[in-house]
Amino acid sequence: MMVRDQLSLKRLWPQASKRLLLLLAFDCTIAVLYSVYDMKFLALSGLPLAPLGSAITIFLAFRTNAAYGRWWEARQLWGSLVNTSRALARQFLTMLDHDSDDLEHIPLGRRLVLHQIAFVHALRCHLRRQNPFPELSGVLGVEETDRLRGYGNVPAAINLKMGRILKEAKQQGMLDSFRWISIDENLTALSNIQGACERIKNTPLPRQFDYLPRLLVNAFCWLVPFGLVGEMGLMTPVASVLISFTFIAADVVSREIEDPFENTIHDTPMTSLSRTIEMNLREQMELPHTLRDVQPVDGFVY
Amino acid sequence: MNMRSPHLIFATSFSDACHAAIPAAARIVDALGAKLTILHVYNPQEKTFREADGMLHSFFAEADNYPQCDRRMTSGPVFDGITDFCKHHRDALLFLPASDRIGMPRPFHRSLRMRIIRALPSSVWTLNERQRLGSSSGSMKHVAAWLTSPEEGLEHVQQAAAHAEAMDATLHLLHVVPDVNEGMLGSTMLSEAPLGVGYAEDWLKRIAGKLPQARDVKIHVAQGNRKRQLSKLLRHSQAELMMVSRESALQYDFFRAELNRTLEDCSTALICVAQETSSLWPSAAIGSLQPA
Repeated sequence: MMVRDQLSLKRLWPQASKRLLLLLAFDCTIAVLYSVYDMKFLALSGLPLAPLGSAITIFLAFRTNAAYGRWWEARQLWGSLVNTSRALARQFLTMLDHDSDDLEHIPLGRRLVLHQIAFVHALRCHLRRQNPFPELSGVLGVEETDRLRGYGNVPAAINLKMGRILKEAKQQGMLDSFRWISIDENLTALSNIQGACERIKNTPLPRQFDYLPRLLVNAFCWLVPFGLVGEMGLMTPVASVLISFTFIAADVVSREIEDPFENTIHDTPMTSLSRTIEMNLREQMELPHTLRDVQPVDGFVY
Repeated sequence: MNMRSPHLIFATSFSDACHAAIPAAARIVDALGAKLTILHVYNPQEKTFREADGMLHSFFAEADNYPQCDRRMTSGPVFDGITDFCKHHRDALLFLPASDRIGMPRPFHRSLRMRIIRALPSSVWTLNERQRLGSSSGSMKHVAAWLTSPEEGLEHVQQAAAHAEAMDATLHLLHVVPDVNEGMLGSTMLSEAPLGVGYAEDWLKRIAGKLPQARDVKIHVAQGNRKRQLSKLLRHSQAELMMVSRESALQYDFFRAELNRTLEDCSTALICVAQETSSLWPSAAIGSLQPA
């Protein structure tokens, strides 16, 4: 996620460069043919550029709105994951009766909170298609992590494991039914957050939203020099490229934010949020840690 | 048997390409139980130590939870910083993703990645934009080695065999026989590379027979355009990682060294192995593998 004020052109340029350079060459050709070789038939002054541009703007606005909707929903889901994680950790640490004080064993409450931290990391890796196991072995230990290796959906497996540990706690008389129901609601909230993130990840923007604006922007950009050359002559490429850049940039920007879990600079800042959750939960457990906040790198936070 | 864990050095400039390469690094670290060092070389005229340190600790932040991970930072020219560090860790594998696309032709650009591959005596793992490491988790089941000629040495084949053994993977030996034409007369005087598919298969079989580590070796030979055929062989073999010799990875023109154009469209990650490199993988026994 970008946190600096300005969007550097060098970030936009690689995606737009091929189309713009091609258009520049085309615009120059039209301008030279019209002005130098006197091919007056190239000037199509009657071309309805303004209504066409307005129609495309509506298409682009729909597309950008839909892409932003996906991006913002992803951010909201991770915001609610932060809240649910804190609430769950509080419940784990305060609602279990007779939890072990034995230094040899990790108390059940802490074990559950560590699983909650692991869930957050596993969900981030699951969405970015990244291997979670080296990280999980640092949180849960090697043995516990090896037990998760057989699962295709690791965060769901961790959620299930938390449910099983709670069942164990209930059987040992550490938890009554009311508190069990209360904690289980939050575990269900985790499943819902995961499901919603997977929905965004696995469902692309409708192809009509994606394909049509691009096609129309391209067609418009190729028509612009014919509409301008009669008035502007050799200066046509300057105006034409500027107009084309506006439309292409809008197209590129909306395209970039439509997938918020693709490990790019436009991602939901999952690494930063999962670090925040881990630090908060470790503090709740009163466990010392040396973790630092994730800072923006070059204006982007991941 | 040498059972030390491999060491991966991830040299980063915090570029988008470096961020995009994190899943690949995570996969290798998990698959090989490797130690990870994240290395950054900063220019003190551009940023302070504090700024660079903050960035280094925010890059690949999840690695703080990895069992073996450390972060190192040096100042000065990037090339010198990386090569000096790697010379002190000769058994390590250096991970260098390609630089970000800039959307403009760079005719006089001298690739830092290629300069480092050329200068370092150790192996370099590189990943282009098109090159991804297959699925996110689990071990690699197919490893390839590309052989161009006997003159390049067989160090990369040995490394690939040791890697295949460590991962319990299938080793694929790939060779492309060029189309025969009059222009080849000159090159045949300089190389012992086989000029027919049958000869090439015999050559690869002899090499495969001498590999002590590899349990399952498959041979793939094709004839024709090298770039096209190599891509086909890679697709056919389903290899997720390919080892190449440094000599065949680099291509020289008047001003600079660049990545061999044959490898540009490869869909797999590449490890460029220098002849003088030491063994990267656990239990890599080096035997005599000179072709007959």
